[in-house]
Amino acid sequence: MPGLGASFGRGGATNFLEDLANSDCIVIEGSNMAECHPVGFQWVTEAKARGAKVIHIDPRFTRTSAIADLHVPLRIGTDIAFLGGLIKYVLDNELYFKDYVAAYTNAAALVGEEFVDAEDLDGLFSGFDAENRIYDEDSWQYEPQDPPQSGADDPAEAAEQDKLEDDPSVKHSDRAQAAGSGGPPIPAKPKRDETLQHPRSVFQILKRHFDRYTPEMVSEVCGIEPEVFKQVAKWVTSNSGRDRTTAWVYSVGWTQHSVGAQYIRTCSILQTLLGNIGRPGGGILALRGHASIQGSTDVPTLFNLLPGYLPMPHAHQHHDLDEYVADAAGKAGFWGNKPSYMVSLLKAWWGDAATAENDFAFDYLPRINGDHSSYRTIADMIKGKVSGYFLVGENPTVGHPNSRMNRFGLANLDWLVVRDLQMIESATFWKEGPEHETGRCPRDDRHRGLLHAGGHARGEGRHLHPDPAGAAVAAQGGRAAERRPRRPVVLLPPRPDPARAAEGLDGSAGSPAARPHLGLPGGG
Amino acid sequence: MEMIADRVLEARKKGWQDEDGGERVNRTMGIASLGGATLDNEENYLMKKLYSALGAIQIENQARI
Repeated sequence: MPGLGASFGRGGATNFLEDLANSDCIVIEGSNMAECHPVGFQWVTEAKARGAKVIHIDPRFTRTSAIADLHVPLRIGTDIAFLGGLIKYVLDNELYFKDYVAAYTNAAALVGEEFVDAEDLDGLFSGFDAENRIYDEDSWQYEPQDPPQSGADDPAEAAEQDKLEDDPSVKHSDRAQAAGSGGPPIPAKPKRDETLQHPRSVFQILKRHFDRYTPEMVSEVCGIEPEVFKQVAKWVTSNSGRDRTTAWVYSVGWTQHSVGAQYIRTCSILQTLLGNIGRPGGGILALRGHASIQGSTDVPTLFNLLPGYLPMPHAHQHHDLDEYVADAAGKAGFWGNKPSYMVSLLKAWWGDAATAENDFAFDYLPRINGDHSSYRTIADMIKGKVSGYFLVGENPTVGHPNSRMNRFGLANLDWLVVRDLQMIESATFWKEGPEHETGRCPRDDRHRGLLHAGGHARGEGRHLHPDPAGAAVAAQGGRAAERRPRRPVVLLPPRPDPARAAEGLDGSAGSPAARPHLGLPGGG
Repeated sequence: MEMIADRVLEARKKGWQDEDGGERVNRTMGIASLGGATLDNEENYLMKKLYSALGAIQIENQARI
């Protein structure tokens, strides 16, 4: 999410689905939201019922277009021109939210004299390295306000950080993703011109950069009538400002383009000019592939992140809290406040145990020192390094690439806890043990527990796979399928229940054939 | 729940590392977790907090897969 990271300091949507109900105008671009995100679409419908305008910009006419007030069938891949045209329209007609832009954006910041825009270099920005086809970003920096003063700009320390970033174990910890989420570092506070008139102010550079995107040019590139573009521009700008907000919604129609990051970055500029970021009903909403992937990234269950895109402490870099926040010292921008974010998190987690005297109990946190992602962990399970696994709403034995590898990994665990709405294959693939043929429970230290969603411990499971070889057999999908018992597994209730025991329901009596179906898919 | 708690504590102990490669890591490699795309923010928060407090680091989500 480099488009959002560069704009806002975090690579996540700036609003949430329910907030769309507060919007006065919703632009859905590069997404068939009505069909692909139908649950979230209820908030679009709610906004529309309140009188909000809904605009669908997409080459295809879909059910989203059918519900929208306006469908704009732009030519595929021309979103930069369309959004660029909107930016020029906003700037030319002075429709940006002036107080907001001056106070909450970098529009007033001055860029150094070395910077040359693409307009003056035949399509390339300054700093292009033609041989390696990459940009050196040195000439893009702000003009610093004051000479550097803090210890963070100590060259020795900076060099140490750079060296550590190149350390293979640090690289494998997926620092690139964390950095991408955080956006580019801003080493010092920039000089400003609050009137936005300085020719090297971000605002004036922006004006010159987007000058080429005239309505006629947009019309020609995007293949739409100029009147249609003007209608979008009018609805968007008349529904932005002090009293109103417009939200932009996108999904894979943007992200799967080779220039998707540029689409999102251009939209970020437009929404920031209009004052639509950080206010109810405003924002840029990335519709992600699953219901709560965005939440699972913001409040992460990811090995390399802590809540709010703070990085997990790394064993080589972060021996204490001071080292952990060293890279933020003296910086401007969102990450200049990293120490506050981290101390807040430590206080939230450890409560009164986190004090200034004890480094806010930073040392309670475990450290990473490499790749600890899902597939690395599965490989470690196969090697016997992992004892127990929690699966919460995930079904890796059939739902992940290389499901066979996942089964080999899971089969090698001492215990597995599956919490799910359904009895899923990741729980049932273990049931092909001989005890289902005999009804006996061999003593063994392997256990499966299924926790039905909602937290009810429905059973503590059967003992499975008396030997590793049995587990390996179960892990081979084809053979396991042949051996699948004709009756489903019965899960034992956590405590003996006399009434159920009398009926043989607690698994204490009878063969598998005598057991009732407990909502499991039939075997066979 | 008690059965799970017993096994978590045992696995935590079995996989515990004070150091790895000479650096302090203060963690357990014995417990791992994988969450799906239906986990809400509150569940994610509690899971990350609980497992991190236990010293587990192999906490993952569909978001990467």
